[in-house]
Amino acid sequence: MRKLRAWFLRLAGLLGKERRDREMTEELESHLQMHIEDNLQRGMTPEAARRDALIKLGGIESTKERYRDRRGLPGLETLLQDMRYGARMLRKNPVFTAVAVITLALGIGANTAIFSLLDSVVLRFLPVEHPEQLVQITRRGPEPGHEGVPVFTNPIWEQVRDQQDVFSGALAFGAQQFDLAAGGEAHYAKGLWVSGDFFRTLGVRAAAGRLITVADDQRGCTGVAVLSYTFWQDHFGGAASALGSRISLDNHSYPVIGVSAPGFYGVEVGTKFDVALPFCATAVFDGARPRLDHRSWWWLSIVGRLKPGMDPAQLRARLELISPRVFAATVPANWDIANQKNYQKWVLTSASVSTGSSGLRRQFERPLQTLMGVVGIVLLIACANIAGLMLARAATRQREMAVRRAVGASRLRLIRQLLTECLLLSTAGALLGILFARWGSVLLVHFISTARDQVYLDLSFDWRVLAFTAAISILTAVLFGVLPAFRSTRVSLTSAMKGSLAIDPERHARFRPRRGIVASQVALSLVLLVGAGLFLRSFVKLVTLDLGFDRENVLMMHTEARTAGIPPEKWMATWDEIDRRLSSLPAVVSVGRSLITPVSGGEWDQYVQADSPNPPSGAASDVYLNGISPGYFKSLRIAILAGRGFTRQDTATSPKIAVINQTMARKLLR
Amino acid sequence: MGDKADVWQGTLALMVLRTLDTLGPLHGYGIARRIEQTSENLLSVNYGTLYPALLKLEQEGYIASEWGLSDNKRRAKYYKLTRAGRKQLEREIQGWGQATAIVARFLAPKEQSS
Repeated sequence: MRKLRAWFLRLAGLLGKERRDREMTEELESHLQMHIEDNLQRGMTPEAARRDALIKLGGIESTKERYRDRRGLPGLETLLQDMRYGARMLRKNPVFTAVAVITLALGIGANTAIFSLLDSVVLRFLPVEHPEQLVQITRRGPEPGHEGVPVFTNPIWEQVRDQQDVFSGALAFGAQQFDLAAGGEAHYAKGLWVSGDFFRTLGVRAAAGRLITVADDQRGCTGVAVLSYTFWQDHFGGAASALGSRISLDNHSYPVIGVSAPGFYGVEVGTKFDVALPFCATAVFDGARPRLDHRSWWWLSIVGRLKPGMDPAQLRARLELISPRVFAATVPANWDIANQKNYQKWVLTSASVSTGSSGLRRQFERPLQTLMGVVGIVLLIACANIAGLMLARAATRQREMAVRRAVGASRLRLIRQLLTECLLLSTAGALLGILFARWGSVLLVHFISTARDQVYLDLSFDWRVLAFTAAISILTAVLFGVLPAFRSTRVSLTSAMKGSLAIDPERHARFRPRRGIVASQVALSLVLLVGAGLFLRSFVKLVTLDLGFDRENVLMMHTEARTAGIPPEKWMATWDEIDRRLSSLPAVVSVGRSLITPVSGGEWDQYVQADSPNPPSGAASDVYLNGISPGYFKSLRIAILAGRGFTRQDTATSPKIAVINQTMARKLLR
Repeated sequence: MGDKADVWQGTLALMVLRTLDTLGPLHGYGIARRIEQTSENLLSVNYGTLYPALLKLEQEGYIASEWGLSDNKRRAKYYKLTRAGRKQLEREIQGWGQATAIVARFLAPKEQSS
């Protein structure tokens, strides 16, 4: 306690120096006077009296120095002094300083940006209770390549929910986009279907109102809506009146019952939800073929919270055990026998999701790690660059170093001074780098987002990112500072003082470290160059990839006939009318429409039976379908190789026809 | 000064506290003289070392200082013991007593043995 108090006072002793110095001088002065008076009384001459007093005191200046050391914190004072001096030296050399700081800022900024992405995609835990207990259920099929598939049907989910004995709680969720507007231009909200136990099992609290419970998720429900915190803030201004009001989703209206806790964006990293609804409410959307009972509508993910003490091996064993029953009870009746048999061979398995389940992670974990390595090399090159600059500067500062050595500064003291300068540089670089990183990471997320598939990541810098930045800035200071500091303090006093650096005997030796730096720079640059070349090749390949259609001058639009309130029997007529009006525009060459937009990620696939002598079955009979209008092939410049495309004469009442592509003809109609 | 013992580290603080305890508020010069006198000039305080020691004691809160007038009407900084200082003195006296007792036992005259 006393020690702490003394330290605090010594820290305070760094302030108000002049007043304290005056007081100290006065005290010592009064001490001397008293001593001299005593000596005079003892009969000494005035000179002898003064001399004796001074000797006994042990020198005024050295006493003052010791007193000052005790008053403040000598180490800290030297550090502050070094920093002031270093800052002055850096200011005197603005070009060098600017180049070094910007180089470092780019290097450190790039590292921080990539690390913050890696942090939010891979490392950060979900903001839920005990995220380490969460596991995601996936399935593994008998055919190769069918591993870790994370999507399920509702019948499977209900079986898993009722049969599992490994979780203290299980939950399921599926995403869907909703139109908030009732007609006119669409405004989308990201919807999340959740099982009744979703929020309770995750341990997510309500920021306002209440969250969806099992009681809200009963077949035949009318549905309730829970808003995410950000959606509540953005669309309702965080007003309490939002609770109890109604929200319109695809023209169905739901009462808002609550808002989930801030920071919770769902279980899937890289996405966020705006509105959550209970599973039972899907019935209203689905009409005659509800997904709740649909045995081949794969739309939900399953996550469970492990019971305490359950280890991964036990979990997998239990899941394997219940798999046959689960799949036997949910076989899609409309599949052919072979595929039904295959279906029953599926096995449930698991993956940890403490940091969130994420297609984004599967997609980007490796690339992000690669990028991390790349920017690490960039930072090393930056360090080498600055080390080179420092060495060059060392030559010009040799005289200064020699003078300081000559007046008694130890070599260690000089090295300390130079390293302090490096630390100043790297700190300035890191601060500027954090700014770069903010822009950089937002830009990167922007790159991987598309208009239809927006990536949302929580990029706020947490302690992990800041610690990372601090660590690499110190590391860089050491990397680019130590060698030049040692080099530049090894000076030959005599030759430096004579001003004849040219005949310095150590001159030749000085070039050795610089050669090393240049060599490592070249080596690292070469690695980067090769890497960049490979990336560029892949990029060019991707850009020039033949997608099978002509992307040039194609514009795309979406229509939502259902949410616009048009009855299904009038949809075709409405679309035809849109076709007609668009075609009459002078700038339009052709108009086509399709059910599924190519390369949008949306799919419609089905097992087909080919009328050929040797029809393939199972996975080989799986084909992808699309519904299109007569203008589709022309608009995308897809050539008809044989037969004909669709025309206006092909209507709902004319004979049913199909157009297949070359690959299907080759595979199924051999 | 050859045969005068230097004041070794740590005991100076004890002597300062004890001096202030006996004589009441006193300036630095007075403390130094008193230590010299008490030790019957066997102990030589380098007066310069006294001031950092006083500052340390003050930072630790064992003594307090204020400016006052000396007997000869000279301005001087007077130090006095605080309550914490008094307690510390008791503790140090106790500790010192123990230490000397232990050392004394080791240095007791050798028992005659063949």
